[in-house]
Amino acid sequence: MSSALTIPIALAVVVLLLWAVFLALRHGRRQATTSRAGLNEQVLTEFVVRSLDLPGFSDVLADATTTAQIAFGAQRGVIFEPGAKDGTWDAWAPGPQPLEPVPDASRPAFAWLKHNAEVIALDEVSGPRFGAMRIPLSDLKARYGIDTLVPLVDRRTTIGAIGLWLGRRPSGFERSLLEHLRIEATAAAANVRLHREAAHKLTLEKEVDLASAVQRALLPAVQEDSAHGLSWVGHCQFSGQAGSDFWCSYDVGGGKLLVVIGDVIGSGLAGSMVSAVAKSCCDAFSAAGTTDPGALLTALNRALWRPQRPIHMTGVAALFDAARGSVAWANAGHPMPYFASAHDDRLGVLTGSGPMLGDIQDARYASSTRGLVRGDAVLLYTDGLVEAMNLQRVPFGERRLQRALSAAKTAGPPRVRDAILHAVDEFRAGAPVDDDELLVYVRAS
Amino acid sequence: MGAALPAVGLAAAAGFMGVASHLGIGLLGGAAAYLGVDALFIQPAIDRKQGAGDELAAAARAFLQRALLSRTVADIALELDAVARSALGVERTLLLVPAPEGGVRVLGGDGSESARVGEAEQAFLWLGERGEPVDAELLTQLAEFDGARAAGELLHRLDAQVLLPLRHRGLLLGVAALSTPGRAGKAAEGLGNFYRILGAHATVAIANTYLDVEARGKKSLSKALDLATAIQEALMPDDRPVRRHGIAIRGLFRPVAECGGDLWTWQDLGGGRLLLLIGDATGHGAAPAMLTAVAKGGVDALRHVLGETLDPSELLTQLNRAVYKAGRTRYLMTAFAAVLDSAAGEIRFANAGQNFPYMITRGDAGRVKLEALVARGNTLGAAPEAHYVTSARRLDPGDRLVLYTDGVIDAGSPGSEPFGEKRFRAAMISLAEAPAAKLAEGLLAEVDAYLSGRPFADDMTLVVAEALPREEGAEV
Repeated sequence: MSSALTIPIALAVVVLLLWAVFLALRHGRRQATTSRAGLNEQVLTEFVVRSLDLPGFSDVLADATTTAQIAFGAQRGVIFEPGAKDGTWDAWAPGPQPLEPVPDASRPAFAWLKHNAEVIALDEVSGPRFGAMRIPLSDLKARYGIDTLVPLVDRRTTIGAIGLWLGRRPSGFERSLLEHLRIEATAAAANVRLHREAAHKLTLEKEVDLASAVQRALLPAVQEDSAHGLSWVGHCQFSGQAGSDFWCSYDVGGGKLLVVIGDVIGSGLAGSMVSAVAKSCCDAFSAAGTTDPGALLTALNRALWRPQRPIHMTGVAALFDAARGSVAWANAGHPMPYFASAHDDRLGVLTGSGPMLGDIQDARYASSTRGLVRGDAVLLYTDGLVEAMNLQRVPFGERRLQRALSAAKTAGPPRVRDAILHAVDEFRAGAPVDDDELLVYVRAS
Repeated sequence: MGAALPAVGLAAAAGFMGVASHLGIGLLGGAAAYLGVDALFIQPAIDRKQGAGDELAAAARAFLQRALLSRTVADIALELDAVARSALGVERTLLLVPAPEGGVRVLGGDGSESARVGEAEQAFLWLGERGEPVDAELLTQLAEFDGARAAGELLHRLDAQVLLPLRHRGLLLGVAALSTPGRAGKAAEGLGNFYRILGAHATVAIANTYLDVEARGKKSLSKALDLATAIQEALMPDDRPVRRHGIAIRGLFRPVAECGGDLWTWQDLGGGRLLLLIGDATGHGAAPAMLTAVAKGGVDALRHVLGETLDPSELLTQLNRAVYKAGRTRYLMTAFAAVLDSAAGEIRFANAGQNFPYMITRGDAGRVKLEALVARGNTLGAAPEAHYVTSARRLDPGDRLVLYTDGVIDAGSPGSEPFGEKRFRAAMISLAEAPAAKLAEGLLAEVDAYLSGRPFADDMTLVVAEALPREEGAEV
């Protein structure tokens, strides 16, 4: 054995030993990570499956936080969830920890998170990515003793956040696990939140249903009738659950029929409320003997007029007297009714119109009068009828209404109504009804 | 020290034997060979294995992230197909969801949709109960059960090997069918956990898609109700104190929900007379609010028609008809109407089931006297016709009239003692010296203090009217 070989061999031995030690360390560490990773994955998986059956929003957040604490050995977990008032946030910890409002100074962080839905290591907030958010985020870190923030963002809304104290900077692998948790927790939390919203929707739907039942009760129970040499039909279809059009007819004695139709500006329940007020006014006025159309609209305008929060509607009142052969009417900004004469093929209109109701405090409406002979008829309608759209967004229009009316006018009122509604339906060809449609047809017979 | 231990042992042995000896060189060679094998084959194999696990988890995660952004179930089907294809090598994934019009929609990973899957109800029922991934082999084993057999037939019809039931809160939202011809039957083995996660992810994504539609519907509904609330508030007098014809009035209205069933109003009837009305429709919400709108319309119209000749009993008779028509006895309304004439020193009133208002007066020797204005009548809307009687009594300067709805007396959380008549009377006596506005605010403050932040269960309306001493009666 020559001594010349000893040194290279000794060097080779040292190198080999160092390499062996290096590999051994690397391997040991990796095995430790792998087994923890396996455990973490399992903890997370169980969270996913379990979280889908949790009843409340807070339950999901608490579970996610506890899961994170177990999986990452976090010493502290803080839950942030939206407060009762818009824009406010509450903080609490799993267990019997009371809610505590997040101070105003930190709130901007939650609005910012919706565009930055990634796990944030709060030690790194001095970086340029955080900009003006440095202060709010650092505040959260200091106040709640957390160093990692897991934001939960669903459909562009920050629905919650989980704060953790890891006591170390998460490794790349831990970060990816945290991201995993973030996505799972977001899905579960969003699910509970949406469930809550959907349940609330059912309650609201019921409420609107009940209200629209009250409103429908305000429409005349009898939709077609005849008396004193007059026969009439009314038809009202609401576009939604609650409508804002109304009509009413009153036998005001002396063989006279008073008809009022109205179209409230505004839709939905709000429109329905105004139309309920107006309808109720008309009932009271007619009961008290205000039967002149002009006087009725003048009184209605005074009753509806509100200086602070104006409400508006258009309407027509018409008083039919077959015995004396006359019809009197007044109009408040409403489409003019059609007059179909028994002796003239051309359609006429009941002309003249005043301002919209509720617009001018002292508005006065005057009645106009014209003759009414056997076979003459008047069509009152709201703009929803002529503005009925087909799928190409083309409105039904006055022309088509005139044609339908002219073609059917010799028939009885129910037939005329059916013919007009049929023409509208045919024109619409399945397009949705997006405005209330109302018509009242009165014929001297 | 893990996998390198043998190499270290060999090297140590070489050192012990003498590295220069033949045996030592041999041992060192062995150690080097082991390390070489470890570095070239063993470590990469471990890396690969771990990498594969990471890859599956990452794929599942990426799927969830994308699926959560999907707006439709068809989009989720696309994502599911993509992840099963890339992470598992699944050839084809179909998503089966119940169609709204009945039957089953079969959504393909290529955006295709068909409805031809045949009878699937029994299979769905069984899968919904099971809630775990099943494969062809398992279904064959369970073929004695009708449900499992039906599921097996479905699997066969779809030309798939694995069925993933997507169950959410006890409801089967759908079934994912995976075609893995290369690994027929054995597909679920080892990958069971991954399937379960993928199933959970697809489930929550589908559920959230459905729920999101509802949640958006809710938004528009609450907006509609908000607008209705605004109208209701527009129908009420505003919160400001009023002075008219020697009377000071202050009314406060607190609805509990979006819309309330309470109503109060004052009207100048002319001739130095003021009408004061308070009402309370059964329940709260949009329907009772609609009833208050009907009543308000009636009051508005009648004061125009009748003016100073308006009589409280006549008003209630008319309102009864209107409320009966709109409420169809399902909704009723209590109301109290009073006409105050300070010049004549008289108050005329009638009552339709409303709790008796209080008069605070000065008795002998300036003692504060509290008395109820007793008058009885049927609740509005209970019968098509009802008759009311107008009562009258003196109204002296300094007298105060306190009108309130049930909500004030019943304030309190469920299960706890309500604020109650006793506390209310005590509060009125202690505040008897205060002017109308202060009295109303003070009384409501007492209720608030009693509630101490707890929510109240019913609308609260409180109205105070005070006959001003002659010199203070100027209009404001």
